[in-house]
Amino acid sequence: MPKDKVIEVRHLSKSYTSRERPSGIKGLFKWGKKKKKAIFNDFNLSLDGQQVIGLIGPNGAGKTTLLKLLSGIIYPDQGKIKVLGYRPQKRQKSFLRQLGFLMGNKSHLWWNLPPIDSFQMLKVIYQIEENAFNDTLTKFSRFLEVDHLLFKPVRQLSLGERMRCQLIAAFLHLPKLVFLDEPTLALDIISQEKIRKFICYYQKEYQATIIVTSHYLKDILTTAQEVVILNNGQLVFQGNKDKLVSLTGHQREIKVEFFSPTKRGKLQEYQPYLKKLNDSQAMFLVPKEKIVDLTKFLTTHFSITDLTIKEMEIETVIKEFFKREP
Amino acid sequence: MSWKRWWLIGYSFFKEETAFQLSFLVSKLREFINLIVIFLLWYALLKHNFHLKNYTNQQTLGYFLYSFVIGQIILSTRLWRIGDMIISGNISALFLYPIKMWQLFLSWDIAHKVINFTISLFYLLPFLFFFHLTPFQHFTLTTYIFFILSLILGSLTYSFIVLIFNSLAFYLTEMWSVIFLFNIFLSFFSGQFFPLDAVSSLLAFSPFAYVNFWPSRLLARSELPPHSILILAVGFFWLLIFFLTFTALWRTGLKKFSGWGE
Amino acid sequence: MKFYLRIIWTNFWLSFKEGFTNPLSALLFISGKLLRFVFFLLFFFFIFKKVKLIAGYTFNDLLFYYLVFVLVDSISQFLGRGAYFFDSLVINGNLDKTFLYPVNDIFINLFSYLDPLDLITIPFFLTYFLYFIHHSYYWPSLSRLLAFSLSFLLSIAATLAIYLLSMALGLTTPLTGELLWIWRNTSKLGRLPVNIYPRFISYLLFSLLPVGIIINGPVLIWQARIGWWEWFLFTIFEVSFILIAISSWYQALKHYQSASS
Repeated sequence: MPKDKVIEVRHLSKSYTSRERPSGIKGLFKWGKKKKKAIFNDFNLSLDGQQVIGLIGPNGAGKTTLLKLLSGIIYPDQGKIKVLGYRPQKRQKSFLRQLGFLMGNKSHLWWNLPPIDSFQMLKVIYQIEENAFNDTLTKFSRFLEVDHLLFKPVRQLSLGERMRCQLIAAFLHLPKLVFLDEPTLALDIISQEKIRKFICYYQKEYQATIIVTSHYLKDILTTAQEVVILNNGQLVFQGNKDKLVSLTGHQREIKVEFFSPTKRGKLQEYQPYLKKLNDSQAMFLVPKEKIVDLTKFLTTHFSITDLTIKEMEIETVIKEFFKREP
Repeated sequence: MSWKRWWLIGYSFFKEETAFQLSFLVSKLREFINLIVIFLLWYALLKHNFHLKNYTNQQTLGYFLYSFVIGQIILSTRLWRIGDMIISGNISALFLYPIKMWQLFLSWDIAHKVINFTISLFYLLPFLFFFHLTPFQHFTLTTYIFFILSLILGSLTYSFIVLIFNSLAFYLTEMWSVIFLFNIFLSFFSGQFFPLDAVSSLLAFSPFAYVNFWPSRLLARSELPPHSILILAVGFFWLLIFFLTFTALWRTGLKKFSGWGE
Repeated sequence: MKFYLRIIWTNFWLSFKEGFTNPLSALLFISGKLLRFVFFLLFFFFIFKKVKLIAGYTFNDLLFYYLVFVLVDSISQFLGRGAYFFDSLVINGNLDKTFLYPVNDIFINLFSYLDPLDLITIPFFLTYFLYFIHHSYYWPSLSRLLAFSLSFLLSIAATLAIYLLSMALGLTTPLTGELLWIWRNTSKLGRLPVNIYPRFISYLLFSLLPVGIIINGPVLIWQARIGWWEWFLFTIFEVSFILIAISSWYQALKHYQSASS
């Protein structure tokens, strides 16, 4: 498969300024001191095209800022950015026509009107031909199972339905490069699954490059081929997803609540997997194959009030990642 | 409720109002410009030989100046929030507060009025100085009493009018169009455009006259109007009507509201 | 051009569909707007019942000023209503998406909402304006009429430039709404010829706060109160003002921080 650099970032610096002033009467007459918070400092990144790339990192790592810089919404303080061969901040029409951006909690849809009306508006804005528009809309709405909702006012749709419509809005003009910022945030499992499938489908069908940020590891593991990890505006990992999976992906988090406070010694057998213990609560990270053994052990030897098994959270993944790859 | 609690509510309200410092200052500038625009219009008309019946030029200028400050007291209210709260359903949260909802609104409103009045004094002073206007000049005890009563009457009347409009939110999905229309009426019939008794004495007895006209007239002319007791009596009659209308609308609305599902 | 007209049309059509989901409220809004207009007319009648001339202006002269003010104000509001929603776009972050469309960002933000109700009120004002000129006022010479038309269009464009300037300032602090109201309140001084105000104020309105130029300008050329040389200066002023507003917008964009997610 031919690959070319879709994104090139060189020596990027970006900081936000804010003013801090006392509240109340005093604050009314003071301007407050300017405070600068650096998000990126001499940041470099280069990404190949035609694949799904997972962009992960803890809150405040700079993921959304990076996407906004790459799409030209905000300006860098210093450094060079090239996306699809363009300088995004110039906002050339030919560049914007190839770009799609879904921002998790922001809407392209008119609240009081059915989604079809907003799609019509996008059709005009992106100058999509009638036939192509109809074909794409039918295909995507069927795939995401919202074809029966196109004529219902947006305000009457559920969050999951709305998000799937938003996804159509972001892909309707068949962009070559798409940024998806938290596309599955706060959605039900069925909608999450549909959105993941759609991402994979679109990438394959249209040979596009898609960058996804998510709080759910599953989003990244099921859709992405390449993973980029950001922490405090630094690139800490960039590489094949398998590496991340081999390090962390097969593990699960088990949280237990004991009836009474429990000592570390009693859990000796599973000591290597025990990550946290305070009084009556414990957290384990175990490989998938050990889940049954551990739960058996816990239920037979202790009286337990609660037990949950779930996928690792992204924050835990990053912590684990740092431990193994200092 | 203890004083400390009132003070805290008022102060936190002030902090909220001024959270966007620049916006707050600019909004005050906007009000000041509003005053200048009205004042200049009348100043120009008077300068070019137009005079109002029953008012000397000095009194006319004073009338518009005081009417503005009175507006800052009487028309400043946070009760407009209630309608939006009803439509969004957020009003149920207020029912859960550890103090009574009306007490909360009262404290917000008092804080709002105090802040706006204090600031409007700063607008007022340069005008008083440049145009040699002296409010309260020939005030006697009775004039003071009438003035204070008319101010309270105006505030309450306006508050209940606002409450009636906000109660409409129980019945309508959109109420801003009604309010927009009403505000245009109010600005005309409350005497913000011209002193009502310079046009027709009948207008001066409409319920809206109490919202601005009477207290402003008193300050401008420094004398009690004839039949002042009758004026107050009619004012209280209107207030009673508004109060009863509001309670009826509110009670029925609340019953309807509790029936709504999420 | 065709592309932008199509966007305006689609936008207008959607606004229309959205606006008329509640016909009663549409009716009330229209009545409110017309009532405001009628009230001010009544005010005029009230004044001229007592005097024949105000500072040398007849009733019709002043009414002409007022009508031009109403038209400039309502047409520019109709076109630039998007500016009123700008603060909320900045606060909730939805402004970001407007920068992603392959459309000029000034265009999409200024003209993002076209109030269909204005399409009822503006024709009403316009008809009344033409009726008034035809029956109670006079038509000027052709050259003055042309200069008036250009000046009138420039007034609308300059008012939109003020909207744009407010939006540029609003990119960093949500101030646009307040600034728009400051302009709209100040521009009310232009309901009457600004030279009836004290001299200092009238100087101010021909310089720092250009109400005299933007709102009164077209009338001054119609009534031949200014010569061609002044008209030319006014035109240069308005064009430069528009250019300054546009460049301020692009400067401000560089400092736009975008609401955090």
